[in-house]
Amino acid sequence: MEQTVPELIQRFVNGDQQAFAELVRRYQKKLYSVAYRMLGNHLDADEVVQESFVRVYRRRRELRNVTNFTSFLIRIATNYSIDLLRKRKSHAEVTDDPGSLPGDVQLFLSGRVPTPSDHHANRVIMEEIKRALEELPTKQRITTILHDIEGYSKSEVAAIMECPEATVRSNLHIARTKLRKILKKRLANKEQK
Amino acid sequence: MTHRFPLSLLEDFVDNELSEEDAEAFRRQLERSPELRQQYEEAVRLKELLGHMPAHDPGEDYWSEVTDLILARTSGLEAPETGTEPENISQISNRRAFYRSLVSVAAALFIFFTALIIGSNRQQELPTAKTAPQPILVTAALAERFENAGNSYMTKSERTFASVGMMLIGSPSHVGRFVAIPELLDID
Repeated sequence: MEQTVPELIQRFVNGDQQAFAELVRRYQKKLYSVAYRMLGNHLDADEVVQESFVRVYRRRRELRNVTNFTSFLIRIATNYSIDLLRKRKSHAEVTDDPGSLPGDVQLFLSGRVPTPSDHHANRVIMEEIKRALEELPTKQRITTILHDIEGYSKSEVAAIMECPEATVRSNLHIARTKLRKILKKRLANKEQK
Repeated sequence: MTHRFPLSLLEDFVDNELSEEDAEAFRRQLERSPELRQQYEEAVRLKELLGHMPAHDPGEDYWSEVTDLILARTSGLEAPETGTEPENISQISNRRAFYRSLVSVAAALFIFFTALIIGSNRQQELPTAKTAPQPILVTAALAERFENAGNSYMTKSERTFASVGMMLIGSPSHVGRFVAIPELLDID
């Protein structure tokens, strides 16, 4: 029978290395996804994943008082990602090839079988969204990534970012408005060409 | 219906976070306003696009590799214990810095007190003001005697010798030299 996260945490705090390994296996994909979306390349995302778990290991005593392990872990990862963004201002230069995006995203979720032209349009729009996200200020970008892309609730995002929920709402509202404007402008420019 | 900014209300509607009453009122508003309807459709579209942004896949091998790397990095660290918190690197370096500063302070105090003791011993060996030679005072006293016409203690030659001696061995003060020169001029 699979153990729950609180049970694993308890075992880990009590010195069980296997429990730590299991926590790493369960959360590494989630952490990698957030880090990759924030930093835009594999090397940095990989560094964030490794360093975040090492930091959790060092701060294991605090886990006794942690009510939400996911928020605790993602907070460590986002803080480290912000540090990397500050250090590596040229992170955009090492962004991975956008051609690696899978093309099976349906633009309008219409339920119909996507045609090759849909695939192409989807890839173009996804790439534009990715670029538009990079133009947002860090906190607005993180809020959008966590809430709209990764699917965390506003209260979870507030816990991760250690800010009031009202701030999350405000950041989200501003970010979405900006994204809509950027996308409209860019897509209109592409259509004209 | 609340009096919040309409776009924020629109986002709450898109996020399905409005109360049933507010949501119903917003639906009615949507039917009446084509502009709001357009904004709503854009917001829904953006939300759908963001929600379907594909995650980057680093490959299946990556996950087992990174797990091994993390476990290797943490195996070098001390194992979690239920007892006292083991010292980390910063705690050890802080303790060493404390001992270093303690030794420095002890050495500084030792040097200070040693200098103080040596200084007080040396002050006792120095001549006091009373025992120190004071040629100026002697010179002044002799000059007073030379100027006194009724002085019968010394002959003229004795006074000359005394003046020459005073010039040679006396203090190089203007008093001594000034007094001695007229006496020398008197020598035949």
